[in-house]
Amino acid sequence: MKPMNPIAMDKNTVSSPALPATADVFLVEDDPSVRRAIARLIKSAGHQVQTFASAREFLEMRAGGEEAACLVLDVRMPGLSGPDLQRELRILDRSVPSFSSPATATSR
Amino acid sequence: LPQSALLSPYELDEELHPPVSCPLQHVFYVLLVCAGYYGGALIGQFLRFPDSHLSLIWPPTAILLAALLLAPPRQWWVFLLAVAPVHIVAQLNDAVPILGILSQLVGNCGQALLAAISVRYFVKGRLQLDSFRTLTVFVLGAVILAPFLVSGIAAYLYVLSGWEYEYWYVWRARVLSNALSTLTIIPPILMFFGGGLAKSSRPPTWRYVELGLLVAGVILAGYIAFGKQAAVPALLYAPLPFLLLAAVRFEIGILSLSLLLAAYLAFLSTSSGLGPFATQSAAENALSLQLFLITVFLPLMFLAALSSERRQRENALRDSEARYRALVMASANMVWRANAEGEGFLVSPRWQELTGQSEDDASNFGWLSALHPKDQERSAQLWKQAMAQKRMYENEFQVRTRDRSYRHFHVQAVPIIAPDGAVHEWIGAAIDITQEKEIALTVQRQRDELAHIARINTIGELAASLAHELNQPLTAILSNAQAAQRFLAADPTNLGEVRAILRDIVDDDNRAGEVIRRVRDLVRKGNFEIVPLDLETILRDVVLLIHSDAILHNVNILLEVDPAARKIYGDKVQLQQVLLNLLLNAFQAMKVCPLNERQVTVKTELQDGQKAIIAVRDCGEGLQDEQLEKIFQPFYTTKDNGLGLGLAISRSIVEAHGGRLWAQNNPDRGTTIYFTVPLCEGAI
Repeated sequence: MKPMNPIAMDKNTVSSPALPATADVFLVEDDPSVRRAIARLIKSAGHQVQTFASAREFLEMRAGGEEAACLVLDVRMPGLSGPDLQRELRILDRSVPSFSSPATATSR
Repeated sequence: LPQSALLSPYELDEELHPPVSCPLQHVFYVLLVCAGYYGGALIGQFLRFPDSHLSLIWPPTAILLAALLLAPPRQWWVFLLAVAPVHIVAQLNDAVPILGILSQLVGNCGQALLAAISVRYFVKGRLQLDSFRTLTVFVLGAVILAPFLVSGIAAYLYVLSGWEYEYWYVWRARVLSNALSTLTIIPPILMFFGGGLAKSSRPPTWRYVELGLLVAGVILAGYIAFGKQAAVPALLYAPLPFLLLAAVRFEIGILSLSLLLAAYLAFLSTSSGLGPFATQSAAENALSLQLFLITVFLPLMFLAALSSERRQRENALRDSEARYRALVMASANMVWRANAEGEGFLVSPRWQELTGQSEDDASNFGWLSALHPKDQERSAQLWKQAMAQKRMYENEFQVRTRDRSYRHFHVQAVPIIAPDGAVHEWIGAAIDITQEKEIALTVQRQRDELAHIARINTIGELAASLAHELNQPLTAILSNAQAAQRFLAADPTNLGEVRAILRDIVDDDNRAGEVIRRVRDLVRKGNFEIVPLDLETILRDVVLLIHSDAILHNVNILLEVDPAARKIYGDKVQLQQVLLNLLLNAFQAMKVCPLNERQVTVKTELQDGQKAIIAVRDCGEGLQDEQLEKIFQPFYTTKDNGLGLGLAISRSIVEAHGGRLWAQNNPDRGTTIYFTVPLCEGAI
């Protein structure tokens, strides 16, 4: 798959219809209630979603090489932030379409 | 009267002043005493009863004794030697045989010396006959002992030298003459030259008038008593009222002079064969007159000494009372006195001016009703407690004034304890501290104002983080709501999910509300108010508020809370402000650290069982030694955009709580800021 440049996206548009309905979406978000809400939203659009509380947890769980069609990342997280994780993934050459979503974006 | 002009005060011998070392002055004194001695001898001859060797008084010996009493003992020999030739010359002129002169000289000098030694043995320092004790010593030593003893020897010498013939007669005559001379001549000399006059300021004119009346009265009464040829025994004591007046109203020296005057009048009449004493031979007349005078004079002199003593005590008491009053008036606004039961009250007039309460109103706990209602019960309790324990009473209360305003007072009272341990009465003072209170209030208001500004500033710095903190629940609510719309539109409708979503929306909404509440608490301009607080809740509130900022700075916050140090006293908002400042400073200090080493530890524990100590520890680079104090100065900052007020205000807030705030470098790395706050009573 062709790597996509990470773009800042609005969480409202997280369920882009361009994504294939069967693709697994990985969600990395530290805030439990935000994580639950976004996971529901993705689910309501018919996607399978797997959630992670931190970038560290994502890296550890996904070390086996399982690939997702899409990664939704929180920009501001304790430890590794969203952009940090994207950099890490590029180094590992496991590029996936990923979105770092600054939560503040919605307030603008 | 010849007077000894011996001006050297006795104190000179007492190391208080260096001895006057002017030989001319000493020579002058000695010459004056010699002149006095010679003049005294002439007066003695002048006051001689006709057809006898007897004088009414014999002043030379008394003048010599006065000189010895005024001079330091080491100078006595000079006077004794100096008067010897004077005596011889004077008596040669009087045609006394030389053996008589010598025995007189030995007798007179011996008597003066013995009298001076016996008086000086008991009375050290300045000699004034104004106390009962001194006068007793003087009378026993100089008036009785010395003349009695020495006359025994002198009379023997007179008889031996062939000058006189009858031993007991001579003895009796010499004793009486010397006793009378000593009584009447020495007190005025001591008064004029012993410093007795110097201490009193110039007397008012009416005293001179009184003195004039006294002299006139003594002369008139003396004439009535002694001057009539046909003696009227009933009038013998006519001078007594005036002498009593002299004894009670004047110095003992004035009394002696009055006595001398009365004695002279009696002598005049008796020696010319008039008055009640002119009944026998001239010699017997003289003796009975002297005896009469001595017996009348002695009690009068003691009366004078006693009244002078009382006058001194009254003066001392009046001085002490005036000093005490001045002291009290200068140091306190209001003074009061209460009886042992705390019921009878005597308050200075200022209380009535202030409250309109009369003394009767104030007694029997009536003063309580002039207090602010909120102070009444506590004050009554404190006062009763102090009375029960007989301990100092100390209180602060507000007093309602006549114009319905209130003034703050600080009150203290001490019990006066009687020798048997019971409280005799209470003495108290109340000081108006309204102004101090107002100043303290203004200072506090200004501190609150400044703290508020600094808080707004901090919230401004946190704006981005706070927006994020608020945005999290909003994002969750929005996502949840959109998901719910889809779940509802789907077929079949997933109502279970929608129910869960609604629950989450409620929680998220509450969470957003909490963030807003915390921000609003901090921004609010509240009055400084110390109340019981839970330290852990405050700590968690602050940590939640800066949760986002901590993430932004990649800082991990670790809380180590001691449950024993939870219940504290303080102002909630201002303590939160202190914690907020310290945490944000810690974040700032760790900007230089690697991401995974940025940890702030907030630790609370008990100190001395009376305070909670809170430590905010960072892992930054630490401070230089001189910075450890400097960071608390206003406008000192290491930040690019800091006001430099955070720590200065934090310290003033902690100090307003009665606590302390200080910085210390950690042994390994970074700095810890400590502060203390008071624990709630009964918290442990």
